[in-house]
Amino acid sequence: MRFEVRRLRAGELDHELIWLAVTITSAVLLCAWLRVGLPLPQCIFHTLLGIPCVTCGSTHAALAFSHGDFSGAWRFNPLATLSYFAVAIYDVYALLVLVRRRPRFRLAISRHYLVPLISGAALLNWIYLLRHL
Amino acid sequence: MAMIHVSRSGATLGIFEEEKVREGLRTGQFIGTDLGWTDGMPTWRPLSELESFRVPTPAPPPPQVDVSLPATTPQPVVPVATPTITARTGLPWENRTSDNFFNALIETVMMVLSKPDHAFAIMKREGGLGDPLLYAVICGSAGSLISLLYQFFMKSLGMGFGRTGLGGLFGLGFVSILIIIFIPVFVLLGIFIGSAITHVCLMIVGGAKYPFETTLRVLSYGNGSAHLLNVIPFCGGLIAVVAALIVGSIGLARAHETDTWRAVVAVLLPMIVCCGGAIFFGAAIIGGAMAGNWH
Repeated sequence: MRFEVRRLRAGELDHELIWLAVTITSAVLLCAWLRVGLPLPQCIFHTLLGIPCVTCGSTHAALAFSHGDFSGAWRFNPLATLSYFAVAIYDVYALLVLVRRRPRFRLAISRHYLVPLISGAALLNWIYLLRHL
Repeated sequence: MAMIHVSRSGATLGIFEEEKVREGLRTGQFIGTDLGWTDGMPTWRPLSELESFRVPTPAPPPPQVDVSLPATTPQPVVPVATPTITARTGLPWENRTSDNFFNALIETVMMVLSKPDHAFAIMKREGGLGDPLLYAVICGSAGSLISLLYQFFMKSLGMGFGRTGLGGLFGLGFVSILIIIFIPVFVLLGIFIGSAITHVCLMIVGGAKYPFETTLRVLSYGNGSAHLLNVIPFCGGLIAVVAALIVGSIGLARAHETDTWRAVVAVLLPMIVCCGGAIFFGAAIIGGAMAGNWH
């Protein structure tokens, strides 16, 4: 795992700007989608097999999260809730470094850490959903 | 004096005068295995193999006669294949000028859909997001719009695909118009989110040899081109989804210079693990999803 704080290099993608824009636009569109009463996407996995998938409950967790009901969001989908916390923290950081023109954090994670981290988190989340949803 | 494009491990080092490259080879700035290309060359070649930089070597002495072999034994002739490295000169869309905008668009669509192997072998890995995103927005919006028009037409004939799920949008009038207006935004979000998920999956399977931008470029050109297949009546949405998966897999394998199986797994992993990934991927090919053709 490698961690550094540095200025953007010439020609390097401005990830902070991109992901701040993407997450905020997604959140706004999701709110607008729900506000006008458009249908939520159905889980194909759940429909076909009758058991929740790893991301089941993510939309309800997002709704609860947006209303500040973090424990409710956790109950719907713990991994999604953690992701929303991570996105919220990242957006605050991105806004700060963009506005104040500060150096950027860059994290390089080796595949040897990434695989067990993601698959372990997904598996634990799925076990939770299978037991509670 | 000839200008030489020099690259190493897929990254462009710059364009240098012949003399500078020769000096760089002496000083160690460049190495013989760095790739060089100049006007008139069909492919990139290692600098050490370029005529201008080849170090003259004394002729090797003739091989000694092997007395253990009978004089009549024929020596097998093994053809030595010289590996050719295709120059990443860019897709037609990346080399367009203001007067051949539509030709470049059509050429790129045709190349990506009919010869994806070649298309992603010459696609530039880096160079900014403007070109690929513009391509994805144009093709993606056009595909979605065509898909929607088909849907309206079918509805008017009483042959709709039902009013459940996303298919139910088409009776909503004002909302449908709003969605049409926001199609480019949906396409952009789909490309960014889909690329991020795919890149993480590619990292998990050990196939991400180049940065996120390379993955985003592949999905922009791949999904954008596949999106236009929505023009096919009835089953266009389904064909577009399948084409996007195939072109995306080939594209990732060529652009990241990784095994094809890793690229295929990276593209399918979100769908295998969770339908949430499928929804995100579907967002990138939103026309097919909105048409509801694959329900």
